[in-house]
Amino acid sequence: MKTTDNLGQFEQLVLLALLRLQDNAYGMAIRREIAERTGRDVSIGAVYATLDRLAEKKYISSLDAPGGAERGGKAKRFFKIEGTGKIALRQSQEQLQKMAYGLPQLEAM
Amino acid sequence: MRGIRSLVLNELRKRHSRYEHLLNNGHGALMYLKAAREAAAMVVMAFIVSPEVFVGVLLNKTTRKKPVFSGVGQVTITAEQLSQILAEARDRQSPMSAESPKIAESLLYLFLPTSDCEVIAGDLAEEYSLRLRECRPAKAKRWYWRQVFKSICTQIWVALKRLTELVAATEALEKIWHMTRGLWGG
Repeated sequence: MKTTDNLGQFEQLVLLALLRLQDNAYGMAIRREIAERTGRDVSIGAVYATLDRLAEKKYISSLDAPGGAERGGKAKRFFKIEGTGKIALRQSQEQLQKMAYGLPQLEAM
Repeated sequence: MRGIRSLVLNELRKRHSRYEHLLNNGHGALMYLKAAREAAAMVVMAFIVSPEVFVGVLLNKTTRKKPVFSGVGQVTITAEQLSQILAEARDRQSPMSAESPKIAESLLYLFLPTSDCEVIAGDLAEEYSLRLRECRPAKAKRWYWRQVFKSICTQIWVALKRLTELVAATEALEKIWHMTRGLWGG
């Protein structure tokens, strides 16, 4: 299997949020998804910094759409996970699972 | 909705009886305008009696039984325009405008990458207007400011990290240059 860059924990969370949100994956929805599921109160700036990093690595792509009145007409950017992003995410998850497998300290938790 | 409709019709018959014949002839259509912030206090309704005449009624939101204002007017605008006018009036009356804090937004434009500024400001404006409906304006404003502050801190951290990487790369290049300059005849 082709080896990709290692993903950080927050990068993995963002990619998982993209997979969950599908066509409605934009900055604030991603922030909300992470906050609701993990309890982490992350800033929108941190989400975008990570999204920019993932876009640089070509793991995700984005598309700007015109914003509505509730956004003061400001554009809305939708994100989509690419094939390389899915591979990188799967590899990172597998690595984590392999490291955690069989550890009694974790099983007892 | 049916209850509110009969309430408006009763109000119309009671206070503006000269239009009753229009009602009896089956004319009229009910416009139900639920404006975002008025919803806290009032439900705004207008009954179009004829293409030219409407009766507007403001109802107490909690009971929805007692009209607090009614009046007859001339239809010169569309429902969308009326809704917009009500929203503008609401923003003027509200001590805390639905518009996101301007100074905080300016800081975003100052510190964040140009490519992301507009979308981040849009995302924050969207969430801010949602929070305004759910909690007190001061709390929503605090949330907005906290998001801006944290986002700027993140951006500074990212910039510093990149700078550190750049310095490290420059130092590495410098070492390579010193180690290999004999080969270049320096």
